[in-house]
Amino acid sequence: MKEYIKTGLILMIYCAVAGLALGLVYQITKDRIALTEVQEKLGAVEQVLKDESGNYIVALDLLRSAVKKVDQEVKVIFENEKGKVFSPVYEFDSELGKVYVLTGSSLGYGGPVTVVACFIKKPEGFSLFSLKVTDFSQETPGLGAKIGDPEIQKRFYPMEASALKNGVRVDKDANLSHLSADEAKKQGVAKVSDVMTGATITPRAVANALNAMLDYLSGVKR
Amino acid sequence: MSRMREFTKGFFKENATYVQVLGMCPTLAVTTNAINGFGMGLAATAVLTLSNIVISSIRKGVPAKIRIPIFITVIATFVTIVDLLMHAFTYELWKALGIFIPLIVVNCIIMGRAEAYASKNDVLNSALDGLGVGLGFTGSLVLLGSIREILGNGTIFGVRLWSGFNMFAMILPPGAYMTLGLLAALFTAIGLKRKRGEQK
Repeated sequence: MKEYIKTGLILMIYCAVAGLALGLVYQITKDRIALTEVQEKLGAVEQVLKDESGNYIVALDLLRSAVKKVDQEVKVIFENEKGKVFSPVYEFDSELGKVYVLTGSSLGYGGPVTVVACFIKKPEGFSLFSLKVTDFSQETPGLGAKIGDPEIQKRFYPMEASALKNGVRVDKDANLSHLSADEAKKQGVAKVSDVMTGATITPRAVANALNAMLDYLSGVKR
Repeated sequence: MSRMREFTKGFFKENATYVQVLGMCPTLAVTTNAINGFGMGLAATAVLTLSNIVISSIRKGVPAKIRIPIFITVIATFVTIVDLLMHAFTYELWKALGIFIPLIVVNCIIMGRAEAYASKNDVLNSALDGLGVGLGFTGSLVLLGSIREILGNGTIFGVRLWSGFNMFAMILPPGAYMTLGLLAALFTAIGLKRKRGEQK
């Protein structure tokens, strides 16, 4: 019995010292981690609010104060068979109409693929203005990880509200590989088969994440 | 054994990856490119060196019966510290390595060196052992990652060497197994040749 108590106490002392060391390092790094996370989020949100000529559709000050004000703790606020939508959802007024910036994810080849997307509310529904794939770290380099290329991401946007009535699909799933990228967008289809040969799962995950966001928007903001 | 030999034995003679065949999980999973292998190797080296130093310093105050839980506590503490520091200061690399950083806790190279070396030797030798084995592990991952990245993607550390010829299988799991097998065979052959030379 005495032996058990002695070894237990020794183990407790080691755990207490380890806890103290971890607490110290956490105190030192927590502000930096929070700042890095905010910068990462801000960068992605800023990027999806830029139009083709590089101008922001929402005033930058408004955007930055909104990002800083919102609680940065990420929670799943919507989930269906296609994917997940995370908090926070940003809502801005602009000349183009009400602008929503959402973060969503869906399962790719190796893990979740995360997308930040900007939708604009129109009388006929939501149009997809822009997007950025922020996390594709588990996708295969040279294949699925090509989704990080901004030129490939442009194959998904802009899409008008009328094209998004049946959601977003990739050209292989829609059997529309013969269309050009711009023609495909008019039917809610992202033509990626020519630039991501042999890697359909990753762009399909982007399409699924966008569809989850559209479901969330149409359910909550109808 | 001189201090220099203590440091360099992990590079080739007792190379953790190709000679001792330890730490296979991160070796196969993160070496899809050279930079991931480099980052993973450096993170493991930091944990290995620091945990070897601490375990060697406390070795006389650790009861034999509970040495494994104490070693695990020390290793897990350093892994969490490395994880927090990488999250704060090398965000992109931290994201790329994902779950493999926390999994350094169960990397058998680190536990192996703690049990087989640091718990029986002085602090300086244990530090040199940890650093040497860690750098040997880093070199192995970079070598494996470079070969897979060059043949599979036509790049090295992200710099394009050529385009138009890619063996995609090299980036996929079969490429990892094939490259690892060939490199292990090469290391074994060189090791045997050296041994024969020493015997003569």
